[in-house]
Order: sequence, then structure tokens, then C-alpha cells
Amino acid sequence: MSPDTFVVVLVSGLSGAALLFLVGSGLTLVFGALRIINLAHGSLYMLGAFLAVALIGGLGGVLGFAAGIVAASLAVGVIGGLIELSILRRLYHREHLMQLVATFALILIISGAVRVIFGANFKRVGAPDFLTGSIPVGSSTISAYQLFLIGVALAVVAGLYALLYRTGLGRNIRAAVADPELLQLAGVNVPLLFTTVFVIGALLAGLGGAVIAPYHAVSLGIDVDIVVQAFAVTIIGGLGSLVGAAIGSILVGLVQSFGIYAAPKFSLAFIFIVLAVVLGVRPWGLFGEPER
Amino acid sequence: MNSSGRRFTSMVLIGLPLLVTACGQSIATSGGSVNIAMNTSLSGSFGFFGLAEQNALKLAVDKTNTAGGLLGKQIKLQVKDDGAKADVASDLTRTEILNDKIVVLFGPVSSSVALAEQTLVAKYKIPYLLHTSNTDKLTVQKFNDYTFSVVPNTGMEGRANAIAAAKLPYTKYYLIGPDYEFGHSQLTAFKTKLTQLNSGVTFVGEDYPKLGATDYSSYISKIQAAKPEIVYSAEFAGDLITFLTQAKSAGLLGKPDSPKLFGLFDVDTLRTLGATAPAGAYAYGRAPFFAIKTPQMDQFVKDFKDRYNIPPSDWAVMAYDAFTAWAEGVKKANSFDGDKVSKAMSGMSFQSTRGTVTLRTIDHQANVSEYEGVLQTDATVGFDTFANVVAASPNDILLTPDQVTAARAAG
Repeated sequence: MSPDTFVVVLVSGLSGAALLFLVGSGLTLVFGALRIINLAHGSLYMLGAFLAVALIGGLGGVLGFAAGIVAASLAVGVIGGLIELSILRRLYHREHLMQLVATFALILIISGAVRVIFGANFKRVGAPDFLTGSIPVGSSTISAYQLFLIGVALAVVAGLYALLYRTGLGRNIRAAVADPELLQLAGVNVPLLFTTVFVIGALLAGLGGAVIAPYHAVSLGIDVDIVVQAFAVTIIGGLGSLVGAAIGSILVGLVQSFGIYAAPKFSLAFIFIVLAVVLGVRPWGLFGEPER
Repeated sequence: MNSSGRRFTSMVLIGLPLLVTACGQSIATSGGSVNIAMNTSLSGSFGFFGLAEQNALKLAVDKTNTAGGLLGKQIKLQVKDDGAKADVASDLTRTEILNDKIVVLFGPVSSSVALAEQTLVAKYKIPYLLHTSNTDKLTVQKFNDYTFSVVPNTGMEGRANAIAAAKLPYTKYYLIGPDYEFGHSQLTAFKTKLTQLNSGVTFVGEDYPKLGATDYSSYISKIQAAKPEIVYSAEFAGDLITFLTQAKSAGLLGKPDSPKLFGLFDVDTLRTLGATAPAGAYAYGRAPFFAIKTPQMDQFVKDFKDRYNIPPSDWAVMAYDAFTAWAEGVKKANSFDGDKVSKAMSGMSFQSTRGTVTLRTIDHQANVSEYEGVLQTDATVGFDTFANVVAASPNDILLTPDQVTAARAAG
């Protein structure tokens, strides 16, 4: 592999990691604070992608692109809030199996709704010209859109850091991750906090779907593909750990990118190889906590 | 790992398989009617195929029923979602045959599903019409008396494209296709035939990304590093759009010195790509309505547009032809009996939207063409279509009866 190609594959891996982080961070945040297994997290991602196609296509232009991504993400956040208020709130003290069934039902409902509203055909939407081009790296080129994806993920990292470590809400979320019972005793409005966290998680999933929409065809079924990867990333990183989600995403993104380049026949296995190795060495994940 | 985390992991392992299940519904038979069925993909990334096929079959059934039915009986169509899963399709097929007493089954999208259904239709002697799934195993190695195909199979498609490619001034090829039965089978046929036709051809790379891949960037890097003159692709639909988007973004395609592209462009994909279709690319398709000039096609396109406000995709065309073939077989047999209809259809010629085609006796494969051309803007339909269309001669791309026999003997 030439140095030019190395850089191109590296950027590809990091852009894949960026998407995995956007989706995985919401998943791990929701599990960390709410202790709920949201199988429908990928459905929120798919919803974000379909909404972005409709909004970006409808609005047009650079501003329309930006507004479409923001509006799609916010819309998914609102839908997430409604889901939390109407369904998940009733399940916090039920067994995990009940949560699984409920969120699995949500997958079917959202998939059916998307099919009815947007149709069964795959969709595509363009990005502004400055994001559709490529940047030369020696004799190779890097996709401008991949750099955009990495930039969005870095912005989300900064935003989440500011939220969690610079605001009262963030302090409460971190406390909820550490000990939700104690938080209730301290007088915090835990139901409201949980709704807020779920909205943030849904918004991140929607943002993931919205930013990726101009980079690949949007079709029914992208929900399952991404949620499997997002679960793998959260388990690798350690359940409930945002730092873990970030490191897990980078690890998986790079292993997939370089792995496909070197041994494409094993492309389906790379993510699970990483998962098996990490769980073999640290069953609680890279940044999770062992059972006490 | 804390206890809730451990539960989470185990629940994930239990719950993920739930994600890939699907469900369906049934319709009962009645005295003055017969039941027919199609199990296909109505959900997931293949959902658009199933929808097009369903629309075509509904149109065909309604036309038949309006004209008095078939042998005086009304046709009741049931379409169920197989989720592209062979086990789901097998359960559905068994129920349809044993409970709903269907008299014909129309094939699915996925070749692996078709291979599973094929064994059941033979057991219960039900005619089975393939119109989208097209691995040549269905009509060659796994052939049975009840299976018929109106879609050019993977061997025919690969060979037809190789014949077209051999006339192009390129010798340095990179192959890419989806990592499942269709992709491997079609690329193998292409490679074998092109090598026979032009011994100077070299293949500088060959990759099979997973079906439904959302990130082709590593594959694109490999292609760029290999510096082919032309990329031959069996990627299709959403996967093709994703590949094209990312290839253009990475600078692989769309520049004067970029490698050429030779790819599978069906009508749905062209319609979705709109103005962003790579004009000038070499394209192939199985039944693009704009490339086929017959009165039957004109009528079908008109009827389809009137009812659904969109032109029919290749999948719709072939599903419609499948129904026509079966209906002609029923008329010829003067019966709905599976044995009699299958015998009537074997070797039968019928008027399809693609002209007169024959279901060969040796393998029940219709002697249909594959269509190749160059993508160009077409204001009359509002999206890119093929220019300089060449319809491959069926005789040039079908296996000879001796070859079929030899392939079966070899397993």
C-alpha cells in the first residue's frame, strides 16, 4: 500500500467511525442513563435519513442542505420524545425482555410507516457541490464528504462534552448513568431527565441518518444494518460509556477500512472479530466497568 | 460488566434475530375462483422489487378477471412478504399450497429464496414462474419439471455483457458485484466468456462487497490503486447508487481520465438517479421498456402508467410476462392442474412484452435477450435511457442443450 493510498483508506475508516459514533453515542447514552435496550435506535436513524432526503430535496441549495439535516434531526428528536413519553416510560421497571419486545414492535411500526409515507423504492439526494468533490492526496484523492462526516462527528463530540461537563443537565445525566436511584433521592425530576436523554439519543440517531443520506442510497432496511453495528460498537466500548463509543467506533471503522482493503473476502467478519477479541480480553468492554 | 450490562448483552444476542423476521397474511379460496400466490420481498432494501412485481401481477390479474377470468374462473392473487429469507418463504409456500390450494407460485427476488421454494413446488407439483431471481442453478443444476424462468439467468446476463464488452476498446478490467449468489454467478459468467472472446483481457481486481453495503470507500481505493481502464459492475439498485455516489465523491468516476463504467441500470435506478445518472456509461438491463418495441410492451406501459403513474421497471415487465406465460399454459392445458399446465408450458411459445419467446424444453428457460447500450439523457421519459441499444441474441447467450446436460452431470 502506497502512502497516498494509506491516507485515503485511513480517512475512509475515520469517516465510517464518524457515522458509527453518531449512532452509537446515542445508543450508549440512552442505555447508560435509562438502562433501556432500544432495538429501534436504527429505525430512528432510518427515519432521519428519509426525512433528510425529503427536506434537502425539497429545500435545495446549501442552506437547504444544512436546514434539512438540522430539521430532520430535530424531528427525529421530537419523535423520540413522543416514543419515550408514550411507550418507554412504562417499561423502565419491567424486565429487559419486555423492553426488547416493545422496541422490536417499534421497528416494525416505524418501518411500516416509512414504507407508507415514503414508498418502498430507494431514494437519493444530492449534496452541495463543494461536498461532492474530492481532494487530491498525491496520486490519490479523498472524498470531501468523508471529511464533512468526520467534521460533524467532531462537532458532536465537542457538543456532548460541553453538555455533559459544562451544564447542570449534563451533571444530572452523568449522575443518572452512575446511580439513578440516588439521583431521585436528590430531588431531580428523573422522568423529565429520562425524556431529555432519550430525545438527545434519538436526535443523534436522526443526525446520523440525515448526514449520511446524501452519501448513499436511502432504503428500507438500513435500520437493521446500522443498529447491529451500533450495538457492536457500544459493547466494544463499554456499555454507557461515550468515550468507549468513540474509541470503539474508531477501532471498528479502521479495522473495517483497512481489513476490506487487505482481505475483502472477510469484510463481513471484521466487526465481529473486533467484538470477540475485546470481549475476550475485557468482557465489560474497553471503557465499561467490571461487575462489582 | 455490571449486572444490567450483562443482561443487556444477552438480550441483544436474543433480540437481534428478531430483527430479521417477517410476517404475512392469507386469503381463502372460493368456488368460482382459483388462488395464485407470489412470495417476494415487500420490506427491507429489496422492497421496491416486490412492489413493482406486485403491481404488475395485480394489473395482469385484474385485466384477466375483467375479461371473464381464466377458464371461466376468477383469479385471486395473494402476495406475501418473504423478507428475502428462505426459511420464511418455505413456510409461506407450504401454507399456500396446503391451505390455500394455490395453482401457481410466482417467484421471489432473492435467488437463495427461489432455490428453497423450488424444492417445495416440485414436491407438490405446482408450476413455479421465476421473473426476477435468476441464478442459473434454478434452471440448470437444480432444474425440475415445474420451474420456469422468463428472466435472463446469470449465465445469460454475464455472457451477453461479455459479448458487448469484447467489442469495446478496453482490456484492463476491474470487477465488482454483490456478495451473494447472483453477484458471484454473473461475474463468473462474464469473466469466462470475455476471456474466451478476447485472450488479451486482464482482470486487475475483483471484489464482492456485501449486499446493501453503505460504505464502498475501501473498495474504491482498491480500484483507484489498480488503475483499470473499465469497471464492470453487477451492483444494482440502491447499492449501485451508493457506489456511484461514493465513486464520484472519491474522484474515481466523472473525470475525463476516469475509468469507464459498465453497469446494471434498471428503470427504477435510472428514475431515481435522474439527472445524476452517469451519462456515457455502458449499461445493461434485463427488460428496459424503452429498449423494447413491441405492441404488447406499448400496451403494458400504457396500462401500467395509467394505473400507477410511473413507467414499469424491468421487474414489473418480467413479472407481467411470467403471468402471461402461466395463463397461456393454463389455456393450452385447459386445466389448472399443475402437472398438465407444466407439461403444456414446456416448449411453449407465447407472446410476451418482449416479443415471442419460447420456454425451452431442456431447462424451461425463456429464450429472452439482455439489453446493452450507452446511457444518455432522454427528455421523452424524463430520465436517462440507453442509446445504441443492442439486444443480445438468445442463441448466443443460452447454454446449448448439451452444455445444460453436461452442467447437470457435473453437479
